[in-house]
Amino acid sequence: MRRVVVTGLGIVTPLGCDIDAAWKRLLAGERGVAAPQRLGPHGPPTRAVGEIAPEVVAALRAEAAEGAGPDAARLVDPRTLFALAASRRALAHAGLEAGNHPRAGVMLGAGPGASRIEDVARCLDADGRFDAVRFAGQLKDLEQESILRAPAEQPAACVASRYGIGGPVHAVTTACSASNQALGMAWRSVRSGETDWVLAGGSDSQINPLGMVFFVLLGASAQVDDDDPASACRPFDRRRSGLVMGEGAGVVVLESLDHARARGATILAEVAGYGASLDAFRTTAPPPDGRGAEEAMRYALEDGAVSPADVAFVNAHGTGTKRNDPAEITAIKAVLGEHAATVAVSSSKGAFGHLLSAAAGVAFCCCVKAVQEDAVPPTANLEHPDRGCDVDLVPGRGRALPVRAALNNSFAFGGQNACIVVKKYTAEEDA
Amino acid sequence: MALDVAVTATALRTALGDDPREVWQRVVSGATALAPIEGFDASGFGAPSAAQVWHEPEDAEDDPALRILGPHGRLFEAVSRAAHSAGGLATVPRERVGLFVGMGMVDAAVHDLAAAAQASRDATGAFSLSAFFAGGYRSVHPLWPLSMLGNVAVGQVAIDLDIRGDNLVLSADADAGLRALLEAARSVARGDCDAALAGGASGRITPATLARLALEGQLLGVAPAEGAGACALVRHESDVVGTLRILGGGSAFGPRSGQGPDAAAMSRAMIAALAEGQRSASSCRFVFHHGADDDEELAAVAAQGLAGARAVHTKRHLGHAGTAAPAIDLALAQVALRAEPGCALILASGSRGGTAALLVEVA
Repeated sequence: MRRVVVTGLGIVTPLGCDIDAAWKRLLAGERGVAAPQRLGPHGPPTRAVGEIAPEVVAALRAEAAEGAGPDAARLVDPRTLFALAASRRALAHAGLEAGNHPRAGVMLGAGPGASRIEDVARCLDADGRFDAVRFAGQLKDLEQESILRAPAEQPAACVASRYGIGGPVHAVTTACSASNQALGMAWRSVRSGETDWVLAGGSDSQINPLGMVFFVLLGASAQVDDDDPASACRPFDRRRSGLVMGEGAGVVVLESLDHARARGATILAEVAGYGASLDAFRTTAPPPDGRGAEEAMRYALEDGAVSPADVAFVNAHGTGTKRNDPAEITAIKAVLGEHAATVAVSSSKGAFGHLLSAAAGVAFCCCVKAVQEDAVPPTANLEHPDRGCDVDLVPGRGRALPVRAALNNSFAFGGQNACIVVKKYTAEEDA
Repeated sequence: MALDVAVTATALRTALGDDPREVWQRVVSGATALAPIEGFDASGFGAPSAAQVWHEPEDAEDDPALRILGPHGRLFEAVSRAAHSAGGLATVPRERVGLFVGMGMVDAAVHDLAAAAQASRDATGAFSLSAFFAGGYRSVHPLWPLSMLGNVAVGQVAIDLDIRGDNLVLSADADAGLRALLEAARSVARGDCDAALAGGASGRITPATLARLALEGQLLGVAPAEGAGACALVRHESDVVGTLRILGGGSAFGPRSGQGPDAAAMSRAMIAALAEGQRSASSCRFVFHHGADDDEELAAVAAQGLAGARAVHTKRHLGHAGTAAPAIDLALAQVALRAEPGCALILASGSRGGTAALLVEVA
């Protein structure tokens, strides 16, 4: 089996689209959650979001339009736009360019796409029923962001087309664990020799009319103080009330060590192991003992032959929901045992919001920065750790900490759990 | 080294039946499941034919399980139960059973959204986003969000069958369904799980289904189908006569002008499958084509020396069941190869340029 290393990072987040600048802001305790801008004037029930600012979206659109071919019309879809922007940054970071890459792949987590209620509203008959014939006659008027124009595989396909990637190109659709599963799938592909490198991670945006009521309908949305929307998401805090939706992308270049060395690439970190599990418990809640999360973490450590003693940082899924947070801490303690007392555990969802299918892609970039720079990011908005959440949750600001290995956790509605292990790259292991 | 993963059971749900042997006989005899679309007025789309299997239960509106699973999930649940039981997966520790699924575009439950849209009209009768946010959205069923997530249906199957191992859900075209089979086989071969349930499902045919096909220029070339397929996989350790084995696979990307992958990408996927499976093209008795009369695919098949294999075009008879098509083809390949032992290459492609191939064998 080949060793797999990280050679490029690319992000689009509410804290910026430059990995170094966003990382500094995250360490400083800044937050990108705010009142909604794009849909704010219409009074959505979701009053805090981790949104990419409209001027940033415009800039990314202009950037993506350079050299756009037949995919130009698809840039309206935010997921596709963010995936292209993050991929562009990851490739540039890795020193790779567009070309003919038959042994490269793209594996991206993506949300289901946007069902647009405006499309339905245009096709009601006099009695308020959906009129299929009218719908068929108005296809040209369908919203450009509609799931019917922009299905889940579109971001990965557009990235592959733009950069000449000809190996496996797939969309992982396991919601909030999708990016980690895409990273795991990519790691396995590179490790086995199927590919030399893969653009992996995820991209998502549900800041659209139905997306803005998605978690409200499910009762999972955080209560928001309109005077302080940035504090709405409070992972591991006693006062946590739910999650705050965000949007963005996190894409990295995973590459075989041999390939990276042969082209003189800078190696940022190594991917050591990956594990996935299913809760098989309830659709919208984890088991209180966190057994599914525990199994995913345990498999990842075993897969990478990484000892719990080597883990210094856990980038927690930490959604800020009542049930997820304590279950995850229980799982972390079960996996790391006595070492859990010395491990830094933080969630970036208070700062970014929950980037859904992109969440673990951005979190993975944070893990790479943590092992590169020996620093851990904070858990924003954490003031009063909940009972049972008695580990080092890094409140306030980030801090320096030697990090040999980090775990990246992600868990989804539906019960899909995934964990990936990032560790410092050392050339000696290859000898 | 070839994967050498055994298929211990297959299950399918198609408009030509649910028994692989009977369906294969009907395909071979030239039967077709394609018929005018029922359930809504499809005349606006040119009244295309389709292969439908979904029958809406009378209590669908009030059935929470169906609300969460959706028709796609219910179809997958049915074949999963069958393959799980027949494949003996209940005897494998639940943490060691994997679940790998290709899930097509899910049903958007337009009737729910219609009620919300109707409740969100302003004084002029026009749809108002402010009215929607002010309360119109409450006409959307609270479980609607879950039905939009294909992985939730897969998670529900995991709950039903108590499966807790390695897993993946890919979307949304046929190549994703085939890659899910390949990922399952590789997981078993690596030892990440001891056994796996793998397959795919395509949801109910709705106006949205036809709209997507029409927007992608496929409506005139493809008859959509509802259906599902699943198989049980274990590491192959004994030479039981007639056992279907997955030997290898591959996927590639290369969009052609128009729709689908180009011949070069299809060739790369086939080469990868044959290489991983350590078999030559001459060992293939059957090629299960993705397209019916796709010149690019035919050129790629010929270029790989597979022109001598018998060409099977199941979609002419069953319609195109999207992400479910590869698992359905796998079940039919097992029947075909038991009658004529050798290898079969199963091909699947997506509209955006993705393509995949899976090599299977009955020794």
